[in-house]
Amino acid sequence: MKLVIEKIPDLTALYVNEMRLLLSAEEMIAPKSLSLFETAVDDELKAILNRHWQESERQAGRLRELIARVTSETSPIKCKTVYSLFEEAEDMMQGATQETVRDLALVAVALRIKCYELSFHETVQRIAAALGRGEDAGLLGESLREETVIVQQLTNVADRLSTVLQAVA
Amino acid sequence: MTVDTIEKLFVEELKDLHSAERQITKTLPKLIEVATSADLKKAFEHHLKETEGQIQRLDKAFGILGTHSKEKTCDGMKGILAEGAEMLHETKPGEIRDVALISAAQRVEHYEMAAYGTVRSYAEHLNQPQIADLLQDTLEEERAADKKLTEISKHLNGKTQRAA
Repeated sequence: MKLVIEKIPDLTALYVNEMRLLLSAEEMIAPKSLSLFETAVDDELKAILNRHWQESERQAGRLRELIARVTSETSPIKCKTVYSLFEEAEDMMQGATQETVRDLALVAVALRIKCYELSFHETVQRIAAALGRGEDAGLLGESLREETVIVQQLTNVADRLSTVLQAVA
Repeated sequence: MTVDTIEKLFVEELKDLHSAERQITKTLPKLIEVATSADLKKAFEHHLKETEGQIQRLDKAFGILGTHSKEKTCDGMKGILAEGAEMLHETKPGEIRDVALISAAQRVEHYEMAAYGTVRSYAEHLNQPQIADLLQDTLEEERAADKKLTEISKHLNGKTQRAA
């Protein structure tokens, strides 16, 4: 069994650890999204994904500020999961040859990534609240609202594209 | 495989989910073992049974479509579960570890909710109401599991602060 090196002894340490992981995720998601999502064909989808990329950058900025309020160790901790999520995204995109189907696959992977980010933000916000860090929780709430809007927009686009594909079938 | 229709995309996503669920059934016994909170252990045990049922629903869906879940690895789930495993090496058994495990488990749930929401929608558009219902049942279980984890996490957060 691998040794436990207790890097996270209390809730504040967990709060910082989670934020540093999430920061890494947001910093990686922005440029990776750009290269994957610039292949989108549907105009509405392109606009949403562009907004998603800009918001990831803004959310990273918020996280840097929040981490700095608690500790001087503000560097991101590499979030390896993001690699897996984008590897999966690339696999799904590779096989999709028809334009609208490809866009639909793009929405599916974007939704998975977005929901992953959303969950991470929820957890961090919950810990901030438990630590009595109301202002931090409020800022994280901003990011959560942005994530929720994009999830809904992506879901609507998926619905529209599915209807298009059904109509031509 | 060339995915040039929504039907093929649907099948690929279902196969991906089947792999995700199988990975979860392999991981949950370990989480049950290392969790400290009795409520958390119970929640993980309950979800293990649910996940076994969710695999059966996916098998039913493949049966209706006349296809099967050929071996496929869900890389996304693999990554998320590995992230959770890291927590076991950075926390001692107790409340903080439990909160960290819940955090990772909820990312699993959200990933699944995204994926099931997607395939449920495809099933509706493909005029497969029986499959849509099966997927909706699973989606509701995942939502309930996520909600339960939030409750337990809030309770544990409170405990850690009272002890601090």
